[in-house]
Amino acid sequence: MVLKINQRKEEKVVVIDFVGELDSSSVSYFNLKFDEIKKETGGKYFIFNLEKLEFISSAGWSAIVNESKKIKDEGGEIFLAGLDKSAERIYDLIGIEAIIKKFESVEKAKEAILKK
Amino acid sequence: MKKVKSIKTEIMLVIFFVMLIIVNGTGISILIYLQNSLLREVEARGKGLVINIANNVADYLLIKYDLEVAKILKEATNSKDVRYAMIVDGKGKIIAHNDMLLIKKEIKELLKDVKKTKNGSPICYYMGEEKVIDFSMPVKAKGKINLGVVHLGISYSVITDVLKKVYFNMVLFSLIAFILSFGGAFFLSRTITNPINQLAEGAKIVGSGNLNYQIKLNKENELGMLAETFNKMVEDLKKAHLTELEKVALEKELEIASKLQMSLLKKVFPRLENYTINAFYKPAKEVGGDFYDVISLRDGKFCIFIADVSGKGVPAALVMSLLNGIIPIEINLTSDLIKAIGEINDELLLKGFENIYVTLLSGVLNPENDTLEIVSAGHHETLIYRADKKSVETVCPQGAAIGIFDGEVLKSKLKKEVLKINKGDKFLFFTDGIIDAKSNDGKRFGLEKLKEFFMLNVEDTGDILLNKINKEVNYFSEGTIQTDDIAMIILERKKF
Repeated sequence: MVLKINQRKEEKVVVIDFVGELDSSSVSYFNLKFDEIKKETGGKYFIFNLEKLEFISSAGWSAIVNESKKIKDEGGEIFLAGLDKSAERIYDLIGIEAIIKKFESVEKAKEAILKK
Repeated sequence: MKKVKSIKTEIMLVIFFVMLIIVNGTGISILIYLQNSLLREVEARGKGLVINIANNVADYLLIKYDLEVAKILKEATNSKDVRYAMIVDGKGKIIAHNDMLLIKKEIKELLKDVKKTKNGSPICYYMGEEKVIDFSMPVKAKGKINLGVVHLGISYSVITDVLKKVYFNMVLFSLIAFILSFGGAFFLSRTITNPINQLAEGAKIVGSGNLNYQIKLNKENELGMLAETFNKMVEDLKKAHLTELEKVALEKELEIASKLQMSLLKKVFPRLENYTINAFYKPAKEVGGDFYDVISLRDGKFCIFIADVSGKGVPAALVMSLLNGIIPIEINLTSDLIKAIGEINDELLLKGFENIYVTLLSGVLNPENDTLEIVSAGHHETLIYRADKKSVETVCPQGAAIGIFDGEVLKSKLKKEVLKINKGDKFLFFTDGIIDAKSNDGKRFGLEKLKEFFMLNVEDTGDILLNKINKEVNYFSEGTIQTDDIAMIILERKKF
């Protein structure tokens, strides 16, 4: 399986762990799973834990940007945590921080959300 | 739909007639049986009574004891249904009667024969009014002398009454049969004709195009099965239809994609004196992705750009189409790359392509002073081979992708880098399809590997070099499916 997604609820935040790769072959799985998680948890704030995500292609970034904009319309927000060097590079290159905030770790992301 | 004569009517009629025949047939048989049985009873009784009288009056007649005879006759008529009891002489004259007034009359005045019963007893009209069965017995005294004949009449009404009752019941049953046949019709309509009508309705609705219609028939009989089969058929039709729709949509996608791809493959670049520009393009199976061009600008400069649209499918292809049109125009309008990119960005945002961003690497080549101005909108590195150093370096000006920020913000993030191009230098622009190419064991091609390979084959001319790179990527990713477009442009300044 190219990509595996698990979720866990921590206080008022849903942490989603990504394992594997997010490229055009796993984008549809990501979209479906995220929809499911949104419905199941009814949560508003999501932290994407990318520590175990080895690779994100431009299609993957596009999907993340997509979901982020969608959830903003629904009054929620996505945060990224645990990006590796290459992911961070593309994040900076494209300028994604205008859309999605990133944090070093899930803990730091939670802190920031709970302050809201 | 034309009015159909319901099969209900036919079936109703059949049921009605069958019931009628059964009921009435049974009735008639009972009737005949009853009649016979009653008759036997009556005859037995009549015969018994008449014998009794004959025995009793014999002695009294002999001694002409008239009073006693009359008493016996009167008594006999007290019996139920006995209409008369009389004694007639050899000539038919009435010598004794329960009604004294009728004595001396002729018997044929009172009794008119009609017919005989099965057993031979005569059925007659008594006094012109009533039907009776006449029983007769000769009176013998001392076993020899014929003193007369006793006649006893029992009313036939016993039998006709019963017959009337039976006729009445038969009519009643026929009526019930008639009512029941109506009941049968209702039952039939519920179990047969209504379901059939529902099926016909359903077929009509589906036929008119509504493939979501399902017939709700909760019966476990053949009609229920028919409804189920029908529903399954509609589902299959729907699936096939959807597949058909998907097919059409996919064909449309492929059409758009192939048009764009054709235009890319056919691109002819303007000729430059001291420079050669080559491009290589290999599209992935899915729509959407990369495009590039070389445009001659007004002031003798040339703009080279290579772009990568994020996302896939028709939206990405549409954006590609759009940009293919806008970019040359904007770049020609203002010779300022950053300004042009700002405009292009706002155009894209305006069109409402919300979830798609585009990375763009653009360079303006000035052949007069051999400089290349590079602006990168979110694009990764460009490889540069420096002939004097015989080494490959990378350049990646600061920037951000198109389609995310507001034009002004984007412009503030874009930095221009001006590079000198010396004789023999080569610039390689490419999209991430190359460095993201995946091998069978999960490794990515990567920038370093490209740098090395570029260096290794740098003496080859542009088109050969690009082909070699493609082959190398192919070899590396053998066994995996290409999911991203591969596009490269190489700009070379001639050595001499």
